[in-house]
Amino acid sequence: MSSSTRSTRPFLLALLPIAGLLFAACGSSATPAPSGGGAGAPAGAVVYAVGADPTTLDPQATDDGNERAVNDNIYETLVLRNGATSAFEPGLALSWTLKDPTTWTIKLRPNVKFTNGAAMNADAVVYSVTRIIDPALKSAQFSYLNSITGAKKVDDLTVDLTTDGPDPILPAQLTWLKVIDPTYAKTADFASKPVGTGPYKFVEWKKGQSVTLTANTDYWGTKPAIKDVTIRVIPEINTRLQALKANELDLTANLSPELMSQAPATATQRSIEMYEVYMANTSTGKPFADKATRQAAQYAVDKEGLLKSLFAGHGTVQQGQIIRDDWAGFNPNLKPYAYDLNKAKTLLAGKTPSIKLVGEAGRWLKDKETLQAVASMLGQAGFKVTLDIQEFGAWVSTLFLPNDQKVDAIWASTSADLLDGDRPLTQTICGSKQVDWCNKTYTDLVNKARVTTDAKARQDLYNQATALQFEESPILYLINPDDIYGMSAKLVWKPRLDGKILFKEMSLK
Amino acid sequence: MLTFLARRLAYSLIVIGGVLVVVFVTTRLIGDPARIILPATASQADYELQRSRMGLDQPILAQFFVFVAGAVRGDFGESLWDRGSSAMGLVVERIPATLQLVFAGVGLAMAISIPAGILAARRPRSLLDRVITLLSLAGFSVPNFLLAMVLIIVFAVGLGWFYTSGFGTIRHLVLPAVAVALPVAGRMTQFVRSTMIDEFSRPYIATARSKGVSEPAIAVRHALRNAAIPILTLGGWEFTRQLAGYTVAVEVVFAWPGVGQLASQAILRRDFTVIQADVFLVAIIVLVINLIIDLLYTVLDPRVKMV
Amino acid sequence: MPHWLSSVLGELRRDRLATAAVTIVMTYLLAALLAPWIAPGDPNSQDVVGRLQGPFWDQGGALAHPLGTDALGQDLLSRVIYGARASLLIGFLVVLVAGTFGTVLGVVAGYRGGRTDQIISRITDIQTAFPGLLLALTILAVIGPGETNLVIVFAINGWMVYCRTARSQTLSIREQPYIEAARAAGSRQRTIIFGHIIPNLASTLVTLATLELARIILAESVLSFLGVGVQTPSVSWGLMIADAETYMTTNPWLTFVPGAALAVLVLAMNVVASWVRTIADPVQRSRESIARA
Repeated sequence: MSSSTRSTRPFLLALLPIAGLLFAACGSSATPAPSGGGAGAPAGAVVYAVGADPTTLDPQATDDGNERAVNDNIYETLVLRNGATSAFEPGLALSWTLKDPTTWTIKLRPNVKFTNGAAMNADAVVYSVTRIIDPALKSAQFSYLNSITGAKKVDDLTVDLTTDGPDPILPAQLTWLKVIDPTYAKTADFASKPVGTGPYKFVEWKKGQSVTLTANTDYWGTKPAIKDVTIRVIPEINTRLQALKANELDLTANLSPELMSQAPATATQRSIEMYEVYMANTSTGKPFADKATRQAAQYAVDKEGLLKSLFAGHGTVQQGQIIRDDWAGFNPNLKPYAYDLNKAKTLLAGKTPSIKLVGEAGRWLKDKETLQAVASMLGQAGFKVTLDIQEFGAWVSTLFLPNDQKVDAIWASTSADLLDGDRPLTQTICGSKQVDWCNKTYTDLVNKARVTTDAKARQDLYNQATALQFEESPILYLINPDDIYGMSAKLVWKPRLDGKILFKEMSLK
Repeated sequence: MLTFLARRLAYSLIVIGGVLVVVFVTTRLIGDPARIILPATASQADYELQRSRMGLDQPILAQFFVFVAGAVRGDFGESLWDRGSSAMGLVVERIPATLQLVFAGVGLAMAISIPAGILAARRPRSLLDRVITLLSLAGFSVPNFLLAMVLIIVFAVGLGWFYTSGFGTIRHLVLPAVAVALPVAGRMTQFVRSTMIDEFSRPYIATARSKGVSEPAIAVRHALRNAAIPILTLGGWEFTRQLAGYTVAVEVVFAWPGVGQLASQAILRRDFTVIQADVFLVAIIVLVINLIIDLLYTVLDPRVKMV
Repeated sequence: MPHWLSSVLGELRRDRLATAAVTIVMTYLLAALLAPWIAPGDPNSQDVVGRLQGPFWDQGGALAHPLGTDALGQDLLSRVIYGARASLLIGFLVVLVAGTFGTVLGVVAGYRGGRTDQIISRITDIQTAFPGLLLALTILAVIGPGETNLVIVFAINGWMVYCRTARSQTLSIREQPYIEAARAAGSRQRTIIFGHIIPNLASTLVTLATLELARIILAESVLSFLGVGVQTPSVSWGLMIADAETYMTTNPWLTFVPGAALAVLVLAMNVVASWVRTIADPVQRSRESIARA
């Protein structure tokens, strides 16, 4: 679970039919032609609407989708993912190789400069790593990089990264590490006027209104096609749609499936969000302390029906695990709990457990409606559900209550930003703050997988862990809804698999 | 006059003190800001550290004195989210947009309600009066957020005359100003109508009529002049009322970058230093405006006793 | 039929707009009181397959859901009726609490005068200077949303207007010759307050309460829309509008129904209030006649 605003959350694989048609009609891929293809100087402007101001423009401090919408275009990471296949690609690093089980050697791209003229070199990378893992910064991104223990300059373009153990997912983690200029990072302007190496330069942040960017004409890579970018803040979902219809916007996220026909153009993509309900169960006396009751809840919810009705089919049912079928760690042997009201009632054996179900509204696509529908379905199986929909801040507090105070059931959305099962599975080990469940065997399996670099052995551990979690059912597996983007008729863009919104990949018709 | 001013100022200080206490008590009760600002994976030690950094581990009375000492200097500390930005600075940045909206809205409301109220008062219980009365009642019977959404759909998307949202030009301002103005205009029309009826029923009007002064001249030069002070007072009161939170929903719907939108965002993020600064600054502005209205009132109308 | 009732009814007959408004308010009151019996179904009973149905006269509509269904397949008519319940209940409770508290303070201040009056008036002034709705939003974000908390916040924010009105009215009534006479004759303070002053305040307070009721119902809808008011599974019109926001252009009906229910009730209350004011205030009436001349 990240506390990011989902409105700027991305995308993954497989374009759905409607987007396929759209792009077929465009006649070409959304990615602008590489330089030399006659792209010429950047021209034109694009407006992207988000629901809230970035909390800060410090690229290393928070885990906030609105901040990423800006800084993913200004800063760059050592490793990138291919937008269409999610394979790793060189970013600011040209190569990353394992020197010994806990040391990675990173070779840096030469002749890259920050837009203030400073050089991007080993010193910058060492500083970027040291700063983000420094507990004093309290970076909310730390959990993406928490295996890194240090960085050492080898020469001007070589850095050695050390980890606390063998780390199979380090390259994935490096897709999160934005490289900053050590001198500039110490100035007062750093958190409000970002300076990076990326394809766009910061122009202005009018709080409550917009952040504007302009193309970096000295960019080392493929020059962006679009010159000016505005990221506007529009809190209300309906206003965003109306602004799109009135041609004031080119792109907005989190469109409801019902509204797809209203937008001039749309694109859909699988999202990295997994909707689920945590069932507190470590203390006896809690309604979900009993495994049969937890499984009854699994059988009581009609995941397919939920997806078909509320999401018009835009999404997938979770396969009995919070790992998507195309992420590392997916267990192909598991199938979702079927929707079987009779089985649910049999498991409850005449009991009518009273449960309090907590959730929030407005942060994720149809979060409230999903929660209401789940509550109603649980009610049909015999649960006595008290629904409590809280505002976001209160909900976060409830989610992290100590285990002895946890509510019976709480709705949440897990985002696996690294496209890997490690994070979602780690969230359910003993001592996890979110999920009130503790299984020693499971915890050992997950912890062992974390330091297993052999892909097959790691997958085998994950298969055991996910099967165990499925059987014990501390989590009510729901759905993985797609992200739906509304676009203007003139925007040419294809959502990326890693969900980043990169304006350099957009062009105008 | 001076004693009056001194009394009013002293009383304003008491109000400010009261606002500070209420703001402190309410915002200290909000969730747990230390928990919200930390990442999900933070340890208990991180949490304790964060609490002590924010001064939340001090006794509540000590926290209050630190708070008041800062508040009198306009210092409410840093925003809990926007690291490095002062809470008061963030609020001050947003004040002009809200003032612009409220000025435009209340100004528009006065421009509508004064002529409408006079027209209605000219012939009480006539058809025109009844239509104006019903329309003015309707004006403040529709919630402003709903009005705002309908205005966007009709005038920005349907007709394309104005922008759906945002800030900057007159084409951005018109729709939010109308959404603020209509309920205000409804209330003010009612007030202008009854005030003008009072004036029209006074003997001097009959005298003027008998002297052959034209009806429009009677209405504007005589009756309206006498009714001006109460009408302006009500206008001032509507102004402060809008500032005190009634524009929040309009600002949110139109993405208007004012203090209202900031407040609603700060409440969702539990950014309590920003909430404190917001409520405090708005209270000060409301007080200053009320003080100015009171002073104008005494200057314009010598009959008012200076108590 | 008591004399006052027949005279009120007589007045009512003369004003068709007021008649309509009183009828509307009564209808809402009845609907709210009888909600469990007249609503076609449970307002929270879902049917995700039959979601977003139009009203019965529309294509795809059915008489089972006369006004259609919302995004979760909940019956719109039932929800509007239960919404009336929440709105009116919150409104009446606030008026009762704030009205009683404010009136008592106002009468005491006006009648006793002197230091008591000074203190009460200053407290009233101080509270009036608070940024009301902003503070309400803050407090609700702290103590959490919900009906009870809404009533508390509105009552805290709303008693001052009763206090001021009751005080100024009491001040003028106190100077009336018959009160002087009663006092001279040795009537007890309680008798004077309850026997003479309060009855004289009644019509003003009824007008004020009606206006306040309308105002609070509107404010409740704003707070529910902003997410800090009434919470699901309770039903309120403001909440219904907020939930329907996504569907405003595809299913405008979902916004229109609660929006219209709200506006019509508030309008009717405002009409009733302005009518009560005219019949209760002979001075205003005579002025209107003079101004007409």
